[in-house]
Amino acid sequence: MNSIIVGGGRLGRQLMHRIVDAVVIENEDIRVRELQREFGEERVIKGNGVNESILLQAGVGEHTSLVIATNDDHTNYMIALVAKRMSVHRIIVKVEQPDSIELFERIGVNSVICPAMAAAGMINGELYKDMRRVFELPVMDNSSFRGRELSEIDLPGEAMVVAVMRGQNLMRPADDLQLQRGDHVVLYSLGPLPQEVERIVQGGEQPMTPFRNILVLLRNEGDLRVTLPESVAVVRSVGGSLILASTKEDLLNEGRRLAAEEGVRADERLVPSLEFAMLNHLMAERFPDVECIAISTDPDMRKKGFGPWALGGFLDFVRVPVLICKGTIPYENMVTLLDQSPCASVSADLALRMAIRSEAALTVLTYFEGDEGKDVVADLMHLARLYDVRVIDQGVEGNPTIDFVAEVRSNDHDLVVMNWRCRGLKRNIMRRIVLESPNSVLVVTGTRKTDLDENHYQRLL
Amino acid sequence: MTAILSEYYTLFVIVILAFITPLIFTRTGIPVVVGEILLGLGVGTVMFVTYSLFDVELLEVGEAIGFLAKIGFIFLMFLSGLEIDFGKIESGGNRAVAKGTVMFLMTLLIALPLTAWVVGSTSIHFDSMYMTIVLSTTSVAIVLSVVREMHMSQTRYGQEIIITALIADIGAMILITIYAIRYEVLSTGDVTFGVVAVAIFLLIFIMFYVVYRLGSYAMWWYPAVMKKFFQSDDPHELGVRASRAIIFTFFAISAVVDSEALAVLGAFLAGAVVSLMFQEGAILSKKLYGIGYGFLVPIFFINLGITFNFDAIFNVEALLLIPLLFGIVIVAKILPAIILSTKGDLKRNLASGVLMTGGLTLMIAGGEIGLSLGIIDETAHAVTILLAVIISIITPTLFNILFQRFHLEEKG
Repeated sequence: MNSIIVGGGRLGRQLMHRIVDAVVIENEDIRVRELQREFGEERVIKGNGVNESILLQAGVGEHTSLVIATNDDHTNYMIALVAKRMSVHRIIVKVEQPDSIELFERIGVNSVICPAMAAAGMINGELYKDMRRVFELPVMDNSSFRGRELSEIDLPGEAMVVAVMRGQNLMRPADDLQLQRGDHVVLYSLGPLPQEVERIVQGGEQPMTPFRNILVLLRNEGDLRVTLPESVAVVRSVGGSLILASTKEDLLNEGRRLAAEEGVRADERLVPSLEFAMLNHLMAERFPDVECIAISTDPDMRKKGFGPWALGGFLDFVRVPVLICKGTIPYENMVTLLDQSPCASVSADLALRMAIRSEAALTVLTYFEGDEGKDVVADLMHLARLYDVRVIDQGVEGNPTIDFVAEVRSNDHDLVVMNWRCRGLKRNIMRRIVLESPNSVLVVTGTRKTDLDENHYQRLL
Repeated sequence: MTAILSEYYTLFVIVILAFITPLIFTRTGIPVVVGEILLGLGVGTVMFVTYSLFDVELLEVGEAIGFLAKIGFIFLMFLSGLEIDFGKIESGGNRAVAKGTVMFLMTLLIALPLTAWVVGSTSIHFDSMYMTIVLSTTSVAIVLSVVREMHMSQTRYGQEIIITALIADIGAMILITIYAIRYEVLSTGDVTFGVVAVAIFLLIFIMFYVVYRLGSYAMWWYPAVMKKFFQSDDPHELGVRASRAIIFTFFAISAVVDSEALAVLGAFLAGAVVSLMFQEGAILSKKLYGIGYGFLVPIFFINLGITFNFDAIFNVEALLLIPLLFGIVIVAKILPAIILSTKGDLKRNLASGVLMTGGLTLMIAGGEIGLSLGIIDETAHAVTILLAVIISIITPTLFNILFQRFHLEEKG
């Protein structure tokens, strides 16, 4: 496999030093001469990376790892399009504007890296690194911890088990303590927790659970009656843990108590406000690792910054799935819509994982003009057969919004999985589904694609 | 004078031309609707020559053709409204909408003094403000097809171009109507007409909102009933009937006063409301496009060519007016794009300014309304049509060339 870099700027040059057999494509004469002096003529191609013949000349092919690193997002986009057409094995793109990330994700490049965001993440990590020495990880089905005594376990790096939570009991890490599924292992690490430790405890690169934790917003008593029980039920059936957030300490205490009664461990965070506008800010600052947010749509709350427009704005912004709880648990029948939206694979993936874990039947409405994008449905059906999920494939002939509304309002489903970026659904109807659907709704946000590949799923299991 | 061939033969010629136009023009890059006007102009030229040389009217263009062409025009405006993708405007965000609005307003501000100067230096009658609005139109259909062809519809740049075109489309349509009402009130002194026209203007927008709310309500509460409107095998074609009912409801309301501008706005908003409610109903859209572009719209465009007033255009002033107005369109569209550019996107904005100059349908609609009200004379009307045709042929090609060239200049 060969590596080609398009753009011989600072980043391109750094990469050339690190990848000794990489070739760089650069268009600017002065820069080409400098690069040739530094790396030799054979490693530098002069030309425009948008041009397919230049890419071919540099050796781009199906087995190439292509790094697109010019300083212009539009140029990078055009090169990525050409590379996709050439079926390049791996495409990594540097973007200048964080807003552009979605665009690249939509066309299916493998990795998109924004230097500004990466730096912000590292600085954030530095700021909070001292506070993040204690970690808590759930023991999953495929964890190598499961069924073993603590004395048998060797953790890499400078991390050690300091306690184990089983239900609401905090247990000492005795050598003969045998770990079970659902236990939470409390670890102390001298630095950031090595990813390998996470993999060993939780099992696999990512657990099969759709989300490793759910942030539950407790705004009033109603949330204790609807949002919390549903989130607890989700964690019990699909795995993960809870993080409770509220402006009121008594709600947090009550929430923790109720979760503990059900044998689910929940962390609590007291926050100054839970209004959607504020939550956008809080998500980045306080909950960067949250993988799902559970909320309810209590009518009383609409006048206090939780109205449909505020919710719509929040769903536009947030990057993790949002579970709108209506209390329709357990999930036995689910419905989703797949169309030619680039993000359809994410809906398919989440719906399938939820269905596998909840042992639910899944109705899939499919709306495709032509064959483009239909492979998502084929992959989903294949995986569903593999994992014994009953899928009902219903092709939409007329208007997808109307067909989807008909399904949602039929009351035949307990959970609606809906992509907020779905092109086939009217935005005003999506808002209505979120607010007025009789069933719970899992709103899939963001536009990244995901892999519905059999091998990938086997790894996840 | 009686024509040699009756209206049935004129209809026969139109239908045959409508059939062969896509076959001829699909591969040339010239929009098919422009091809229809060109072929219509060809037939019109033959008729003009035979009339001039032999004093013989070749084809009869009477009430029946006129009526079909008028319905075609209304349907064309409906289809123009159907092109409005509100989802794109919403997803584009406030910044893109604000930029599009500012570009449109700047176009008007730049074009107005230039057009006023042209009005002052020619004997051809046209109102400078009205012509400014007509020149500020953009063809959403052309912009969409070019942006899609170049795989830019998902890029921020492509989205901005589409949103700017949509805003120019909606803004120009509304301004044309307002100006036409104002002109009619001032020229006739009929205050009652003015009051009724303004009331109907507002009523059309209220209707737009009511139909949209009713549609959304029905979609939510009666999805099973609404599904019938979108079934491909429905022998009663309920969806098509409903859409037609919406068009002619809007049309009927606007026809309370005899104002072509209101009728056009009504048809346009009827299309926009159908788009707003059922944009994703591909089957219904295809059927509506089929009826429109397959039958009624070609009649309008070909008739436009056949009935083109060659007498009015063959004089030096008229022929000079075309490049002058073309220059104004180019300057008025490109300058805002340049002014609003940052260093990095100057060239791209320049290219998008060129693409924005192509305002085929609304430019022709503006010409028709202007002629019917006497805001512009026969010569200015003929100039407007030729200008629309020329712009539609030149600008997509010019955009392609500029975009490729500027892009290749960028770093690789």
